[in-house]
Amino acid sequence: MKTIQYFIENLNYITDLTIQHLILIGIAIILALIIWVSVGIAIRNKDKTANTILSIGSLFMSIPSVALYGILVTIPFFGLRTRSAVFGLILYSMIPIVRNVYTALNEVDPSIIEAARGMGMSERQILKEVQLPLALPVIFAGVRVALVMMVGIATLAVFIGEQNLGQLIQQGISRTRTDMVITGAIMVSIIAIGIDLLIGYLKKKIVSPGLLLDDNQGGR
Amino acid sequence: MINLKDISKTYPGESKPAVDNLSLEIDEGEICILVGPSGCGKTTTLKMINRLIEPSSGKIFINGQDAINQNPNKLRQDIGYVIQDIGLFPHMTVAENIATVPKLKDWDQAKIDERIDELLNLIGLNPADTKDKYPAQLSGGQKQRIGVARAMAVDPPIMLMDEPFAAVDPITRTQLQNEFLSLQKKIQKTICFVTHDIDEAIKMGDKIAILNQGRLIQSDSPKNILFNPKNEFVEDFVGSDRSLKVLNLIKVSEIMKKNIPTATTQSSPKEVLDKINDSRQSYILVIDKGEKLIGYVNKKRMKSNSNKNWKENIKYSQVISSDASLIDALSRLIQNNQSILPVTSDENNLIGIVKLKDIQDKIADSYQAESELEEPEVV
Amino acid sequence: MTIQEVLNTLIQNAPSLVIQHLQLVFLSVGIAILIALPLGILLSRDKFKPYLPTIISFFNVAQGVPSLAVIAIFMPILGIGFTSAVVALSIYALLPIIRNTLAGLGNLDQDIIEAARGMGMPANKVLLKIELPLALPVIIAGVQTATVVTVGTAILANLIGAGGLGRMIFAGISMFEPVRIFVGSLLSALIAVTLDQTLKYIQTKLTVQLDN
Repeated sequence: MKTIQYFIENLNYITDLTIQHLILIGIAIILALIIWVSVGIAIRNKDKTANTILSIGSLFMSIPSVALYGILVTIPFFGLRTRSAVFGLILYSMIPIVRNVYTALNEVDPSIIEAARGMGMSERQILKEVQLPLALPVIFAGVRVALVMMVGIATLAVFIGEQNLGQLIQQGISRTRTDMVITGAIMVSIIAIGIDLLIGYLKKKIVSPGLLLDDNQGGR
Repeated sequence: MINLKDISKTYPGESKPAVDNLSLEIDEGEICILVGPSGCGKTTTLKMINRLIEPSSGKIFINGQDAINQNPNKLRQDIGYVIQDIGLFPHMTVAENIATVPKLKDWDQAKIDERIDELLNLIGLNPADTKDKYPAQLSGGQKQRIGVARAMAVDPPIMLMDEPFAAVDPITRTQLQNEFLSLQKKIQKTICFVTHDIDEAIKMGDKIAILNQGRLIQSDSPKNILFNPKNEFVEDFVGSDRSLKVLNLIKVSEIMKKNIPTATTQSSPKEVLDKINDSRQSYILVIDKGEKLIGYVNKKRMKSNSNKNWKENIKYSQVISSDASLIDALSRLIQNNQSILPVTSDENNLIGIVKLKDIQDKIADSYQAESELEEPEVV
Repeated sequence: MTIQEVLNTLIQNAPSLVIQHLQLVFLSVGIAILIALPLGILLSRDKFKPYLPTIISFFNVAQGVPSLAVIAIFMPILGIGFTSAVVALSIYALLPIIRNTLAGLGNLDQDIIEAARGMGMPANKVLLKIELPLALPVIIAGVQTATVVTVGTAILANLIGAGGLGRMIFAGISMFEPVRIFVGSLLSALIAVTLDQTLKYIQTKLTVQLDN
């Protein structure tokens, strides 16, 4: 098949683009986690602020990424540089991460919190030792969603000059090269699935086994 | 040890206080039960002791010190707190759960490990099996026990318990109550225990404080609450079957009769019949060489089957242990349609006998009731 | 880029493209609903229960394929133009709707359904009167997602000659005209947000009704 041939012939180029793709996502997710997890923790007890922030985030979600990139490009500070792409990715990951952190922290069983308070734990200790560990599974789910989204949105950043797997698809369209398009599409899908599996693996490693039992045992 | 002085709590926006000028003293080593209908303020009162709720007015003294002067977290670290849903941390193992307060107090790991094993043994669980399990892998009864162990981790002199056994089935609940009472004999803690169940209060409490609408109505020993209810509310709350409730408090050993006529498996049929006649009863209990109860034989049967092997006439009888409560004895008597119950040890040795009539007499004594309507005893 | 330029572009070039863009979106989502809804209902029936995890996994994987690729793949098959774009967009919009239909119908309180069946209600009535109304909020959320996503994908559809605001944006990119990029992007964003909020409002109204 033409596609396989293309893949083999251009392995270096494809690997290069893949790495670029991963770097872009990597930078974005690290910054996103630092920013959005902090926000989620900060608003955990402030319902009104949380609602406002989540509404704003929802608003961003509905803006098409190409449109957002388009607007960013016209702003002097951002322009046609990688920072626009990173900024866009961070914005789009707001809702999955903030919403999940906020919800998970608030959904911890109240009797657990009461027991912790009754034992003499301070607010900070409760957050660190009890709430956050218990919120981890849901936070991981949010990170998963954010990352898979980023893989797709990063593809579109090629329109503002980014070099990543989206190039294969875009070039494939303008040069009517199906082999390039399919290669690009498959590579992106592989990355998305790979990241999904990676997060699943990390989750098993990081989240307390006590919380994962239901997954394995399906209820006693 | 715990001294509540005129404490009140009114929630903002509410006109009626949740707790209204309540004063109560809980002595060292005693279990004080706060009991009353829903909304009576018992849980609110409990939570003011460890300052999870701050009183609107009044003072709380713990060991002579005003609780308001202590850092709330430090205060709570020295008070054991057990709640209905326990609140075991699902992301921590049993060992890590129990280690929570010791860690807050910077105990060193060796001491913590030792204490964990000690506590698990104390509550009847095998440390090796249980230590590394997660709450999701435990049964309801196990969770409850571990909740108690966790609260006792740093050996606090005071424990607050809010309906700790309410979330399990009745059989497990009875087990937990009995185990806890045995435990208390060993550890002698000062305990403030909230329940809505008057039977649990009577069973568990050294002192019972009945609350209603935020006020303390009567604070007394279980027997006094049953025999001398202060007013109609207490009478109603205790229930019209309070005479039966007294039976919870009295053990079989207190009224059982010893020195009962018996026949042994070695006896001849004639000897057995003689014994029955001597005893002026219609039956005799049969024991073996080692004083273990086999059953009983009936006079009528003995007479009609004098030629056959008399041992075939031996019938099985329900028994009761000497430290069971009279209510258990009464239930067993009625269920099995017996009017007498042999009392046996764990190894099935015959210790004594308890009669339905004796139980009745005991209650009557307690209430100083005179009987007029009575059937004569049939011989 | 001056305000004057922005306004000019808005007044002269925008209207027809906005209409075209809306046509793309409504047609595609409409077709997607017509296919996805029945399909989702079908797949949620008991006979498909054993296959459900596999089906859902398939959809999860499919979700990972970027919109750009979906459009690109259809280019050689369908050719260029408005119609091809609608086909590609419909297919891409199918996903969120099917996923939410399956999720909505799959997460219903089984007690309610059992009660209905116990009353002797025939299966099709259970579906129409009970299952669908209860799953509706989630399904509408799926339509919401599909719509918003389609607004964005429709921009890309210009690459296969669909027109719409994508034409303005890409023209701006290739001709280095920031004004066009800006106006096209801004309008797309506004359309997306408006449609999203409208559908959200509808969904809230329906959920409130159900709670009552």
